[in-house]
Amino acid sequence: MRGNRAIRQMESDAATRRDLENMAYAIRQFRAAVWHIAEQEGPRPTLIQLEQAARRRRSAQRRIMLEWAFAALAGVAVLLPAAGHYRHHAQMARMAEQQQALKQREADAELLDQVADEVSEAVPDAMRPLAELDSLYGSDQSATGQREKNNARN
Amino acid sequence: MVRKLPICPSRLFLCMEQIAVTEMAPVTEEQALLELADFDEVVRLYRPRIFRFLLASLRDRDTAENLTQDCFLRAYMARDRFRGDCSLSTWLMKIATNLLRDHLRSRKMRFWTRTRESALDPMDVSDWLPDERSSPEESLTARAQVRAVWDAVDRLPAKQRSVFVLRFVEEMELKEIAEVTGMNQSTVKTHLYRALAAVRAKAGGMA
Repeated sequence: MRGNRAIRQMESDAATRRDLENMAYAIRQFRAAVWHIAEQEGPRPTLIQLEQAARRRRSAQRRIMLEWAFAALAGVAVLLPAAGHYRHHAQMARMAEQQQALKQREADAELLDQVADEVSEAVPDAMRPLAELDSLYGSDQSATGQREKNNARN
Repeated sequence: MVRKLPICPSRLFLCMEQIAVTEMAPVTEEQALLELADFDEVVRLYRPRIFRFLLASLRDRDTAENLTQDCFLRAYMARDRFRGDCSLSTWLMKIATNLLRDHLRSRKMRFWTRTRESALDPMDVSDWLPDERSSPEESLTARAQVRAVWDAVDRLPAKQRSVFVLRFVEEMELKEIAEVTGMNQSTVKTHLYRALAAVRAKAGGMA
């Protein structure tokens, strides 16, 4: 049992060692390849190198500034119409809201008028019962008066 | 007495001839190398190393070449500030590391110009392998391994990649790497450990 475990351990160690050796070999090969490529680049005169580098640095700085300026311009060019469109859209929405509110107010007013009309028709004239009573009373009065006159004459 | 030269390179080289070497007061032998007469020698000696580091870090021949030139231009401009506190090689490598960092940062900002026209193809890179293994099968496996390592290194974060390249391509000591990158040794160790683990994980199938 202990022997088997030891054998497994040894196999595992050997596999790890083999893995590490392969890794080390791959890195060595990578290093060799990089060195080989770098060696292909021939040396250049220092004066030319430095002149080129200085010129390139200046042009690179200018290019970066131009790129950022262009990016800013492009941003503004995209944002301005978008902002205009947004503003127009907001204005249209506001106008639509106002129109809607106006319509609503008109509809409300119309409804109120209609309700007022209906209510005024449905409710009887407040003085009508009194008037009827008065007319009744008036006719009674005249009848009584006539009877009194007749009695006085007879 | 240290004279400050104008920045324009053409005028700079006219001045180079006018300034007598005796006017300079070199502190160390390496500092003396930096003086005008020997600057060509500095370039000749250290250019391959700087170029290799930048090439392995960027995987782009033209950019590596440009940054190498920038590195020597900066070194030349700042040569009077070199006091010999570290070796000339370390000082130049430090400049190269800073340039690399700036370049990567500016590339990040210029995300719309990411295409690398002169980027090295790992297929081409593996063609440069010295053919040590005898059989064609072994040779093919070796090429596949280099491609895998190259790709894995390219995917590493910038700091890990720098540390990995300095250690395994330039074979620098941890102390020197710490000096070049401005990190302390334990941080360098951590970056190296992580870089190795990542390369092993990504290229492990091949290696």
